[in-house]
This record gives sequence, structure tokens and C-alpha cells, in this order.
Amino acid sequence: MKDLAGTVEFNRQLAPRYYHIRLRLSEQVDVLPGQFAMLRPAALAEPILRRALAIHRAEDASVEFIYLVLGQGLEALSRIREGERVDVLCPLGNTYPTESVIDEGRRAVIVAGGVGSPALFMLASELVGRGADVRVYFGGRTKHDLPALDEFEALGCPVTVTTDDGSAGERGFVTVPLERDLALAGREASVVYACGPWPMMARVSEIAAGHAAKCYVSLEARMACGFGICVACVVEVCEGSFAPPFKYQKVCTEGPVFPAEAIVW
Amino acid sequence: MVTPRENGRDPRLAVEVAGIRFHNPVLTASGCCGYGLEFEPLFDLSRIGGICTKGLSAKPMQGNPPARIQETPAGMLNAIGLQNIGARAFIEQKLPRLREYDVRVLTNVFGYTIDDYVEAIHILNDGDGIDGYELNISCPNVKEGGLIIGNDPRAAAEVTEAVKRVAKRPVIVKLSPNISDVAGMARAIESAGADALSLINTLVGVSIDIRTRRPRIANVTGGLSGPAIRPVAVRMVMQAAAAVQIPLIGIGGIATAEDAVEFLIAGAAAVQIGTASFYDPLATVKAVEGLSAYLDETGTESIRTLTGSLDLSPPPRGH
Ligand SMILES: Cc1cc2nc3c(=O)[nH]c(=O)nc-3n(C[C@H](O)[C@H](O)[C@H](O)COP(=O)(O)OP(=O)(O)OC[C@H]3O[C@@H](n4cnc5c(N)ncnc54)[C@H](O)[C@@H]3O)c2cc1C
Ligand SMILES: Cc1cc2nc3c(=O)[nH]c(=O)nc-3n(C[C@H](O)[C@H](O)[C@H](O)COP(=O)(O)O)c2cc1C
Ligand code: FES
Repeated sequence: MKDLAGTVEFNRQLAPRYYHIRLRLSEQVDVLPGQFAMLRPAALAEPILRRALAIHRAEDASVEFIYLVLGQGLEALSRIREGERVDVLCPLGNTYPTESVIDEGRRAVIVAGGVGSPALFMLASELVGRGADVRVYFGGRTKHDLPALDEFEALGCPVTVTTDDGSAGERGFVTVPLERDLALAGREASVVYACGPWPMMARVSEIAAGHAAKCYVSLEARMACGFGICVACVVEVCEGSFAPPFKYQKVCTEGPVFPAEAIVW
Repeated sequence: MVTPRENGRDPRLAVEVAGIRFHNPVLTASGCCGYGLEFEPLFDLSRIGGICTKGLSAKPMQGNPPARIQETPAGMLNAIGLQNIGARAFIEQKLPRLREYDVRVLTNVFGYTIDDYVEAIHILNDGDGIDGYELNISCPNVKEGGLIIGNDPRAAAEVTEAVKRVAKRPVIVKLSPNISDVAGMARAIESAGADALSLINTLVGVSIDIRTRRPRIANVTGGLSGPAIRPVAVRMVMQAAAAVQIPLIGIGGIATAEDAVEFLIAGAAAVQIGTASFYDPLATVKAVEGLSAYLDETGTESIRTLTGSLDLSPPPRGH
């Protein structure tokens, strides 16, 4: 973890409210798939808190993020231009366990919901690069809510798209083709990695359990600091999944990736 | 002018509060630095004056359900619910490593009865390398129908006396801002034997989501912190300074050396930085450097000469 200065290389709009930003950092960092950063335009007075974004790509001293503007913080980020500065605390959090895919040869089934996709891109890219059997299920509300779909497709692994309104791919929830896939593959054949809205991850977790597939989820939580000092970002976990006595675990330091069965859905 | 340094430190910044010598007056605030070690990857802990830990209790606490925070104009509301690993685990798991740094360690302690405080202090008395205790008295008193201890001078004095009787180290009592008579409260705690006061804790607030009409944090009310509360905190430090002899530690919305100096002038001998560390993790070390720069620029001999130097004489005409 380092507190670095980032210089904007580009910050372009992908779709209404979706942006893609690339920053050149003052120092090189080693980033693992699933890790995130806390960002804020330098010298911004308000809002005061940084925003958490998954690291979509990292290469030498450059990092990329894809974000959906919900409020003031990311709105301010969307307005900054090439050459301007961003404060970047990174890399933060843990990574996805991949032993069952790499060492035991299980299939990797990646399930992205909307802007959950950036948290999964480095994982997909790394697993494909290592020759693993990878497939991606990507769901969004509309065809505009599939950020970086083209980048997933360019990896060369099968990508199945669903939208709630049918404007792209299959109409309906991403969990429908996921369930078909896991049923066909057979019990214990797959490892599922998911990031998206809470109800989607809850359902993915249930489906994976039904097919005895390991499942890891990358969670979001309201964060003030991103590195463990505020204890705001907690998620309730099941008894026995972490050392007692705590039923609340910090998403920023114990996560953001958790085994799905550890979470109280 | 070149800043004189000893071991990379500026001796002009050294202060003594409650008999504890800090090599500079910048401390982390409780609940805004974990147990201190979270900062290890970011800076050498010996660069700041002190660490004031997350509130500790005799037994571990789970804390409140999420959502625990909400950002607000120039600040934030929090209702973490004092989640902590417990005093014993702190001594065993955190303190040995903290002791490797040349930084003073204050353990913040809270309770819901006098016995809770005393029990936690008994445990912490065994902790080698703890320099002092800070009492968070902004908790409801379960024996008194849930009244906040820190809102009642008599209850605050009772807790202070009980802790002073058992504490093997200096006791700093942290004032709640949710009171009207600052001077009266400060005097009551001073008379009860406190070695210093720290102020302020958070102000109670509520934020409502107007679409769902629900409170934005699960606990409904939360504590307001950040730059938004700074003027309230400076005012309270000024009032407390006029009322008591014991030293004060200023807290509330401090993000820079300039903010810290404001508290020193108002009457504080040292400061704590809380919320600012969330959005600027190096805020404390930057403030230490900024204080040296301020002394250079203003030709001030030492930081100690600033404390209570507020000029209340009528300003020159035309200002
Ligand atoms: C580890 C981690 C990784 C993340 N990665 C990404 C990413 O790659 N891309 C991305 O776009 N976002 C990501 N997020 C979510 C992102 O941090 C929030 O959406 C962001 O903080 C919102 O900031 P804002 O300034 O736009 O809105 P704010 O002003 O903070 O909030 C505006 C409104 O949106 C609501 N809101 C805030 N956060 C969320 C949320 N997560 N879900 C639903 N409503 C919310 C608020 O309650 C408020 O009503 C990630 C979060 C975490 C914790
Ligand atoms: C997330 C959070 C947790 C806190 N936890 C504690 C605590 O455990 N004990 C305590 O005495 N004060 C606690 N405080 C209060 C701070 O120590 C400080 O008094 C207050 O936030 C004002 O300073 P600031 O504006 O610099 O944050 C907490 C504050 C925040 C924001
Ligand atoms: S965001 Fe502060 S502890 Fe996780």
C-alpha cells in the first residue's frame, strides 16, 4: 500500500454515467487481481472522502479504473482532464484464491454484474493467460450497463451476455445461464468468481452451493479509509468462518474477496 | 532560517502533557488509526508524537451493524459501535510491535458503568509501554438510565476519580461536545484528579435518505467529525483553557499544521488528527513537518509558546 500521485492519461466516457480512467502513478506498484484503490482528485475540497474503485488493469506504473458515477465524489473524478492529478492509495485488499483452477484444473466461471466487472477483469485475463478453462457470464440492466464487455470478449474465452431488458444478449438475469452452465459441468467441476449487486451475488452463492462449486465474491461496502483504520466497511460473516469473536469483518482488509459461504447473505 | 534537527527531529516541537513527553504535539485520534500499526506501510510511526488507540474495553465488542458511516458536508457521521479486540488482546497482539517505535501510546478506554472502566484499566496497567490512558466518557451510563456520562459533570467526575484510584499512568479525560457548560464540566473533571483533558469527541447527528425516508446509518444517530466541526472544537478548547490549569489536547476537524496551530493558540498543548487520516493517510506526518515550517516562517521559538497565546484585545480599527 502506497499513497501515490496519479496523473491522468485519459478519462473517457463509455456510456451514460460510465467512465474509463487511466492514471500514470508516481511509482510502480504490484497489483493482484481483485485489489482496489482509494481515489480523489488532488486538492478537491469536497466531498472529503476518497472513493473505492477496483483496479481494472495495471501495467508498470499505470493503473486503469472503470466507474459508474452515483454521486458527488465520482462526479468530481469524471470532470478531471488529461494531465491533472489524482491521489491514489493502492493497492488495497486481498486477491482471489486460484489454486483449484491452476493446480487442480477446475473450470473458472466468472460472473460479472454491471460495474462489478472491473473487479474481475484482471482475474479473467490472468487465468486465460495461464491456460485455464475460463468462461464469463456478464449481466447488466441494459446494453449500456456492460462496461468493458469488449475487453472481456477480446480475451478469447466464451462470454455470455444477459440484460434485464433484452437490449443485448439473453433477456433476464445472469444467474439463469450460470445455473445451466454449472448443471452441465457437473458437481465440484467449477470455481465461481462473482462481483456485482448484492442480490446477484447472494443468488450466485446459492446456485454455486447447489452444484458443490467453490464460490468467491468480491464485496462492496461504504468505506472511509480503505486500509483498516475506521472500521466502517464491515460485512456480517457466519460463525466459525473467522476466528472468534467477531461477526463483523472489514471488507477493505479482510476482503474485498470472501468465500461466499462465509457471508451472512 | 534552517530548522534545527536532532535525530531528524525538530526539538522545537517537543511538548509535555500530563507528565508524558511527546517529541511533537501531533497524535492520531482514537478510532481513526486502528491500533496504530495499520499505518506501518505508510510511514515510520516514530515520526508522530503519539498514537491514541481505538476505544478499548475489558472484553471485545462486536460493534454496530452496517451501514456505519455517511459522508456529510465537510465531514462524516459514524456509528461504529466501538468494535474492538479487547484490552487483553491489545496488550498481547498489538503493543509489543508498537513499542518498537519511539512514539507515545495512549490507550483510549470506554465503558457503560464505572466498573467497566476500572476493569479495563486494571488489565491495561499490565501493558508495558502504554504511556497514558484517555477516557472516552461519551457513552450511555447503563446504571443511570442511559444518560451520557460525559453530559453530567457529577457522573464524569465519578468515573475520573474511580479510574485515578487504580490507574498506574496519567489519565486524560475526553470531553463530549454535547454539553452547554464547558467550563463547569472541565472544572469538575479537573477537581476529580484528571491529568489532562482532550476535546472534542463527535457531535451527535442524523442524516436521512429522502427517497427511502430512512436514516442513512443503521444506528440512526451517528457522531459528526471532520472539518465541519472544527470551529466548535476551537471554541470549546478556548473555553476549557480559561477554566482549568491542566493541559488540553485539541481534537476536531484538524487536517493540516495550520488547523493544529489554531487549536494551540486557543489553548491546546497538543492535538489529535482523526477523520483527516481517512482521506489523507499522511495527514499526521505532514502536519508535523508543517509545524516546523510555521515556526520558521513566523520566527517562533518553540511550539510551546503558542499554547494559549490567543489575543483577545480589540483589533486595530479597519479590520
Ligand atoms: C472494493 C470496492 C471496489 C469498487 N469498485 C468499483 C468499480 O470498479 N467501479 C465502480 O463504479 N464502483 C466501484 N465501487 C463502488 C464505488 O466505490 C461507489 O459506487 C462510489 O463510492 C460511489 O461514489 P459517488 O461519489 O459516485 O457516490 P456517493 O456520493 O458516494 O453516493 C451517491 C449515492 O449512491 C449511493 N451509493 C454509494 N455507494 C453505493 C454502492 N456501492 N451501491 C449502491 N449505492 C451506492 C449512496 O448511498 C448515495 O445515495 C467499489 C466499491 C468497493 C468497496
Ligand atoms: C470512525 C470514527 C471512530 C471513532 N472512534 C472513537 C473511539 O473509539 N473513542 C473515542 O474516544 N473517540 C472516537 N472517535 C472520535 C475521534 O477520536 C475524534 O474525537 C473526533 O472524530 C473529532 O476529530 P476529527 O474531526 O479529527 O475526526 C471516532 C471518530 C470516528 C470518525
Ligand atoms: S474502510 Fe476504513 S476500515 Fe475499511
